[in-house]
Amino acid sequence: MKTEDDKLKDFFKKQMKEEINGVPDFEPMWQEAVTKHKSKQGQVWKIAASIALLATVGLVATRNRQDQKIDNIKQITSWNEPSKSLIPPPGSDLRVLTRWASPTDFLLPKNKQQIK
Amino acid sequence: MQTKPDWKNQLQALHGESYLWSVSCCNYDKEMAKDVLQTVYLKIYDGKAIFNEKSKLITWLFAIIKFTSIDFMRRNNVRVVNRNESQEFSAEEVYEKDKESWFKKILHGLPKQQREVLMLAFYNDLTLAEIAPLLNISIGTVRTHYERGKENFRKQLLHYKLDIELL
Repeated sequence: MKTEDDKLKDFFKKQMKEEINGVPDFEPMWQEAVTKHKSKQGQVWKIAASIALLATVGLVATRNRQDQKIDNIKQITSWNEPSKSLIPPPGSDLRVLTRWASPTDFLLPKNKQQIK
Repeated sequence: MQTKPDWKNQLQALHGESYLWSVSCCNYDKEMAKDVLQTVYLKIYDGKAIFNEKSKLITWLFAIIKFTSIDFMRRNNVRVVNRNESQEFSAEEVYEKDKESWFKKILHGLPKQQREVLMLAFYNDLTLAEIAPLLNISIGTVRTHYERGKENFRKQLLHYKLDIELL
């Protein structure tokens, strides 16, 4: 013999069977979940690609800045003093000495001058 | 580890019960219930919800539906009002959303936790021990809701002068 609880349970089950007729179909709901999952995966790849691109651009920009610094250093090392033209180069007075001519050469006769 | 086709077959077998449970969790907002169930399927497909086989599949699935519905209701600023258990309720205090049958009127008129316990026990054949963790309450509290829910349901049957054996 069924208890009151069993009768209540049977009644609920019967009502549930009627309610299940109004439930939306499973397949479209499942397919929508699959579609959303795939589009999420696509977004993940796009974000990863964007990050890789930004990292590459950042690297290139950093290297360019380093090259710029090196160029600046080279400019400093090759800097010429603006007043350089006023100062004779070292050793230039030695050439003057080697080219020195006696101030009394003119007193010697011309034929003797020719003997060297 | 279960493959995606295994999941699909099992979820399909429980789809009807899952939807009715989702409707109950969403205070009979059928559109929200559909969105909740959709989100649950996506969580399972994404691998964000993993079945560890420590409980029955239906218990695990219903818990995810329950927690997902709570998130949805919070996002939509829907306040869940739990009726005072000692309060006498009248048959007129029913939810406006569904008036298709007197059965639904009576069920919707029960306090939320009594309704949920009766549905889980009678619709889905869960034991009180299985219902407790799903609703995040003690077994003692589940038993109280179960007994009071049945009592209130029978009171309403008498009120409507209905005999379930004749229906």
